Amino acid sequence: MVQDQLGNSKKGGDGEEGGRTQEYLTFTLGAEEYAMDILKVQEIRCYEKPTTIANAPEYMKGVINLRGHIVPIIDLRIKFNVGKAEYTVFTVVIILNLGTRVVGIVVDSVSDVTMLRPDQISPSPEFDATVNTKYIKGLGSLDERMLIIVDIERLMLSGEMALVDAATHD
Amino acid sequence: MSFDMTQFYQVFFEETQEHLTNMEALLLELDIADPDTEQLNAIFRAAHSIKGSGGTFGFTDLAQVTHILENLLDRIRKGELTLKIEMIDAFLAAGDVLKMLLACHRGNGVANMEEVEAICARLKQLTNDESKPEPESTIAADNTAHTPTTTPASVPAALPAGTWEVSFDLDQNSSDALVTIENLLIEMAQNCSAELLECLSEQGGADKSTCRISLGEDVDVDWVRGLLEFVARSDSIRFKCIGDDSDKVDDGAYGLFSDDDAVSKADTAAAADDSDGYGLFDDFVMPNEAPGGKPPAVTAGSEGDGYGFFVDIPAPDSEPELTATVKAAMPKSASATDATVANPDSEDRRKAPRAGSASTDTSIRVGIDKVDQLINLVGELVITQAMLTQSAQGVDAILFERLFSGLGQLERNTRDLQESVMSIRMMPMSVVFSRFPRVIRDLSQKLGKKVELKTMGESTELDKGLIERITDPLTHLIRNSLDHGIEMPEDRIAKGKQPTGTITLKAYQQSGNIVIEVGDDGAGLNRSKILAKAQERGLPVHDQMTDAEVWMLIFEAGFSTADQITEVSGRGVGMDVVKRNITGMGGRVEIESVMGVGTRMTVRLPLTLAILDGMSVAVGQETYIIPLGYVIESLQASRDMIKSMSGIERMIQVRGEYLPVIALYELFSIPGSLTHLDEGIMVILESDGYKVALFIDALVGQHQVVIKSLEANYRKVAGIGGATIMGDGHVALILDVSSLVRMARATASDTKHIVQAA
Repeated sequence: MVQDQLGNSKKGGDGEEGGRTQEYLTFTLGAEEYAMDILKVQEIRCYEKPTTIANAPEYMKGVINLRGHIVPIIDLRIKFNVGKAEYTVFTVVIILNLGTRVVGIVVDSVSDVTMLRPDQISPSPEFDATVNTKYIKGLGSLDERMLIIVDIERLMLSGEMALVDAATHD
Repeated sequence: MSFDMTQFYQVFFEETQEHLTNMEALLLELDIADPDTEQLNAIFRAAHSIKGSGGTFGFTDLAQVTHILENLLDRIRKGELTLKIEMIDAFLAAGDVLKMLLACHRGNGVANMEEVEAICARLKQLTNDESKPEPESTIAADNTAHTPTTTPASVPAALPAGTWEVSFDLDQNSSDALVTIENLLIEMAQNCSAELLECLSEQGGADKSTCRISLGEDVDVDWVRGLLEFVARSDSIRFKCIGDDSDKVDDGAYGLFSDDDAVSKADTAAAADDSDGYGLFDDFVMPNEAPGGKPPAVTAGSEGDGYGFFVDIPAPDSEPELTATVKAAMPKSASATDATVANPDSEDRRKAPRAGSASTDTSIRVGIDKVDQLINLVGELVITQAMLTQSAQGVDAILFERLFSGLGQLERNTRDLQESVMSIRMMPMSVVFSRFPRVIRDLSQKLGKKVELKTMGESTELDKGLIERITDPLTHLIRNSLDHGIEMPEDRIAKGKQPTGTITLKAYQQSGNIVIEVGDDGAGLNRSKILAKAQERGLPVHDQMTDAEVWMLIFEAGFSTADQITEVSGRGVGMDVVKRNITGMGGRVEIESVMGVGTRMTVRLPLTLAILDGMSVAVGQETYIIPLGYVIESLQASRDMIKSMSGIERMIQVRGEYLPVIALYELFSIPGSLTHLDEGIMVILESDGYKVALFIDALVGQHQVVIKSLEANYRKVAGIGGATIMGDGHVALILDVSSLVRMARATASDTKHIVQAA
C-alpha cells in the first residue's frame, strides 16, 4: 500500500527542476512532519515483531531477519516520546541504508516523496523540535507544509541512539 | 615481440611469495647432518622457479640473487658441498632479501641494495669455499682428468639398475631446449624420479638436440611418452630399461649439468657422494670459470649460449669395474637419481612433501569477495530450505510422499553444499605455525637460548580472515615466551631442567571456538614482581587479587617486568596490542602460569562463519540458542537441590557439586517466564573449567545454526554471542556462554552492574 503511494507521488512530482533538486521521503512523528534524503531509504516494509534484545533501551525493539541480514529496529516514536507506540497492520518500518549499516525505523506514518529545490530549504533556526537541532539540516517549505529536514544518518549513528558500540563513538 | 607482461605481475608476486615461504619452511625442516635429497631438490626447484619467472618478467635483481643461491644449492644437492649451518643461515637471509626485493617491486618500501650485494657475496663465498673438494677417489680424479676441459659440465656417473633410460630428439631449437627440458623434468619429478643424463646438441645443427633422461623404475612409460611427445619427435623417443648386468657403462657417463649457465656448470660436480660407496666419479672442477668469471646469466638467450657447451663425452675407460661393484652394492629399492643412500626413513619422508606439493599445484586463485558472496548465498539457501521443510510439516506425509523425499534430499544436498562452501574460506593453522620455526630460530640464536618448538593441531582449520589477523599476535606471544619465559641454558640446568626449553604451540577446536595455546616450560610469571610493578605504575591492585587477575595485568599498556630493555622485548609495548587485536577478532586471551614450571597463554577465537551446533531453549516468549559444546547436561531441579548462600543468591547441588544458578529471565529481564527454580529446566554449562546452571523455561530442540553477526548492523550485546535465523525466518539470539559464566563468577551484586556497563 505504502509502496503504491510512493510510486504515485513520484510520478506526480516535478522532476524537471534541475540537477540540484533532491527527493525527500516525508514522514510524521507526532504533530511534526519530517523529511529525509530518499537515497538513504532502502525499502519500506510492514512491521513484524522483532526478536527482542536483552537489556536494550525500550525504543530498541529488537532485530529482524531482512533476507539473511540481522537488522535492528528502532521505534522513533518511543525514542522521542511522541504518538502512540502501538503496532497495527498499518505500522510500517523504513529500512535505512547508512553506508555500511542497515537499520529499520518505526515512525507514525510515511507520507510521500517530494521534490525540494535548494531555494525551498531555509537554514534551521534554534527551535524546539522533537529531534535535536544538531541533526536538522534545514526547514523545507512546500505549499503550506513545513518539513523538518533531518540528517537521518547522523541521527541514527549518533551515540544517542546507542546503535553502534560506544567505543567507536564517544 | 611486444607483449604486456604487467598483467601477469600479480600472479608472479603471489607465486614467488609462495615459493619463498615454501623454501623457508623446507630449509628449517632440513636435517643438517643428513639432508634429505628430496627436500634439497624441492628447495632447489623453488629457487629455480623464482629465478625463471623473475627473469621472464624482467625482475633481474630477483633473478640474480636467486641465481647465486641456486648455484650453492645445486652444489649441495649434488653432494659436492656438505651442508653447514652457515649455509642455512645464508639461505634464510637470502630469502629475506628476496622478500624485500619482492616487496619493493610490489611498491612497498625501497630495496636496500647493500643488503642485496652483501648476501650475494656471502653466498658466493660459501659456494667457493669448498669449490675444490679433496680428491676422495683417486681413480675418479684420474678418470676425470682425462675428460676434455671443453666439456665442463659433463660428469660421469653410474646409473642404478632397474631404471629407465629415455632418449629423444628435441623438436625445438636448442636455445629453448634447455628450458623445455627443465620444465619437463620438474613435471616428471612429481610422479617419479627423473634426472637428465645427457643433452647433446649436434654440432653445427642448432635446431636439433638429443637428450637422454633416466627415470626411476616406478615410472609409467606411457605417461612419460605422452609428456615427451609435446617436445620431441615421437619417432625419436626410445625407452630402454637398464638391467642389473647391463653393459650400460657408457651411458653411465652422463652429463649432470647444472641448469642454465656457465657459472654453475663450471663448478658442477659429481652427483654422487663417494662416502656412500657408489658415487664413483668425483668431478673435476674448473675453478677458473667459477663465479665472478662470468656475470650470472639469467636470460633465455644466455642459457642457450651456455647450452652450447654440451658436447658428447667419452666415457672414462676405467669405469666398468667400478660401476659393477657399485651396482652390486646398490639396493634395488634405492631411488635411481638420489645420490645418497636412500634409507627407508627418508623414503617415507619424501612421500609427505610430495603429496603436499601436489595439492598446492591444483589450486586456483579466486577473489575473496567472490567466496564471501557464495557463502552468503548458501546461507540464504539453507534458510530457505529450512523454511520449506517447516511449511511442509503441515501437509500429509503419506499423500505427499514424493514431496517429502524431495525435501529430504534437498536438505542433505544443502548441508553438503554449505559444508563445502564453508571449507573454501577455511585454512589450516599450519599456514601460521609454519612461520614460527624461523622466528624461534632467529630469536633463540640472538638470545643465546636453546629452544625447541613443538606444534600440535596444525590441521585445525580457521577462517582465512582470522588466520591473517592472528599471525602477529601469536608471533608476539611466542617472542614473549621465548624472551621472558624460557631461561638461559645454564639457569635451566641449575634448576634441574633440560637445557633446551620447549615452546608448545597447540591449536584445536572447542565448540564454537578455535583455541590456540602458546605454552613454555620456562620460569613462569612472577606474581609479586608484577604486583609491585603495577603498584609502581599506579594501577589499582591489591594483594587479594586472584592469580588470573594478576596475570592479566601484563596486558596493560606499557607494562613490562623486564629488568632491562632488549632488542626483543621489554618496552612494554606489544602485549596490550596483542590483547586488543585478539579482542578485536571477538576472541579472548587467558594466562595460566606456575612459577618455575611454565606459562601457558590461551587464545580463544570464534570460528566465524561456522555452523554451530546449538540447543534452542525457551524463556518466556523468547527463543535462545545455547552452543551445544558448552552444555554438559540438563535437568529439572527439585526443591531440595536448591540452596541459598550468602553472597551468591542461589546455588544448586548437583551430585555433590554446588553450582551457581544464572536465571536467564532475570539477567535478560524477560517477562512472562517461569520464576520458580524447581519449575523450569536447569542447563549445566561449563566454560573455562567453571560450571554454572542456567535456569530456563524449557528445551525446544537441537539445530545446526548459521552464526550471523549482530554487530554488523547493531552492536555487541552482553551475554549474546550472535544471532541466527530460525526455520520460520525469525531471528534467535545465540548465548555467549563464557561471558555468562564470567558474569556468574562475579558476585551477585556485580552481575547486574556488568550487564548494564557492557
